[in-house]
Amino acid sequence: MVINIGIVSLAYCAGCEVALASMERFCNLIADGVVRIAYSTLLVDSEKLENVDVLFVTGSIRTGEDIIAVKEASRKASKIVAFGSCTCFGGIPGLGNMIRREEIVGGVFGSVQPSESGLLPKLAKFVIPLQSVVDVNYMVPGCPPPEPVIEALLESLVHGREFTLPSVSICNECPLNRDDKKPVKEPRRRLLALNDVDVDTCFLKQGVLCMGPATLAGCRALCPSRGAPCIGCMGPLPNSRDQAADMIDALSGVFYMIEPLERILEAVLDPVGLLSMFTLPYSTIPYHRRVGVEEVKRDAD
Amino acid sequence: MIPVSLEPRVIAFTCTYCAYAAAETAGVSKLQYPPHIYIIRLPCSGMFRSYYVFKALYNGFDSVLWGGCHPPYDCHFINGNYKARVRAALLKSYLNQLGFEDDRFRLEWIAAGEADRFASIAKEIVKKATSLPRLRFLDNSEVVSEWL
Repeated sequence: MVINIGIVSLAYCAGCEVALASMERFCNLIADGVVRIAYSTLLVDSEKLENVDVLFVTGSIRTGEDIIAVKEASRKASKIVAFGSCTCFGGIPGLGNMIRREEIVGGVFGSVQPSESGLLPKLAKFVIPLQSVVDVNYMVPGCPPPEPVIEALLESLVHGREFTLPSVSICNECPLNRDDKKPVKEPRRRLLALNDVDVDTCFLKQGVLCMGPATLAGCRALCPSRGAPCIGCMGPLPNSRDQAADMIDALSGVFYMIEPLERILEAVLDPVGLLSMFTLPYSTIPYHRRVGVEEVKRDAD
Repeated sequence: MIPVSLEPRVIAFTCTYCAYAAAETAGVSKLQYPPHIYIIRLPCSGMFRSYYVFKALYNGFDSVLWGGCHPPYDCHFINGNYKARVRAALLKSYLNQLGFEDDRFRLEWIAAGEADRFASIAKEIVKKATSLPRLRFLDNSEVVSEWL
């Protein structure tokens, strides 16, 4: 039996397809004839999406065309996989929720207006995760999804084993984690501190922002074990929606002895961009106030 | 969402040992404070989770009051109020960047005996909330329905 795979790409950077195609296991499966890529604009030569067994959706939903395309594609697939953080949580394009769509188009294209028939597609009101458009069977987070997670996904597609994500944070698999609970005396800005940071000690213990405590495990601490703090691409833990809220809670447990408070705020200068870099459209308040909040008249009591 | 007709609505998260006791003392000693405040009791102000604020605002509360014990030595759990202080500062800068006013979220130290202080803070925060506009958050389905 051949498993037909279709890959639909929305607003994306093509990194997820590259991560999938560079997996040795995936290439072996294609060579053995177990898996066939039936449709992908990047990987194979096929014009139209036919009926497939598994539909991989990569990229975030930014334009109205994306919504229509993914809705149509979902009718032709029996299983849908949200592949990559952009699809699961909105990803980096999700930070566009800080600005109104008219300002984005105006700032980039000037006087050219988006239209139904023209070259410039109309943007959706704000970026939304895939789950609010179609029902998703598997969520595979990561930017791009790390190898152990893709391996587990392929295993479940081919052998029918259950696919589960871990339910712990990056710190549980991080080699730098020594279970030291002492508070930190000095916070530092991440980019400025990277030159004189000790790569064999926990970053948070050195006062550098590392998203490990609020980020889902699965990548085997790829970045922290190679000398760079985690930026949180795996998204929030399963029982939470707000990665930023989790990280604020974690930071307060590390930074509580610091005086005055302005020093902490200086270390986290761009809170939305740093704490919910990949997950803004997935959080409880997924946009800037002027993007998605209406002011309602208060009825007098 | 709680069905209520009173406007505006303010949710108050108070710690058992100080701020909640103050609210109770205010009631017992018949101090007047507005009925718009919905008080929730927490074990400690450090027990407050940051997503409570997001959830409260999203579900229609106009502002959030957070009460704890006076630093440095009042906290029953040694340093819960210190953690609350850092959490509040970071939350405020996060909400600020998302475009919400400073008045929507407030951390106050209220000792168990300061019933009059609780009453005056309650009056003040309700008065400020009245001048703020009521917010309605768009749902993701409204983005989808624009196109389908």
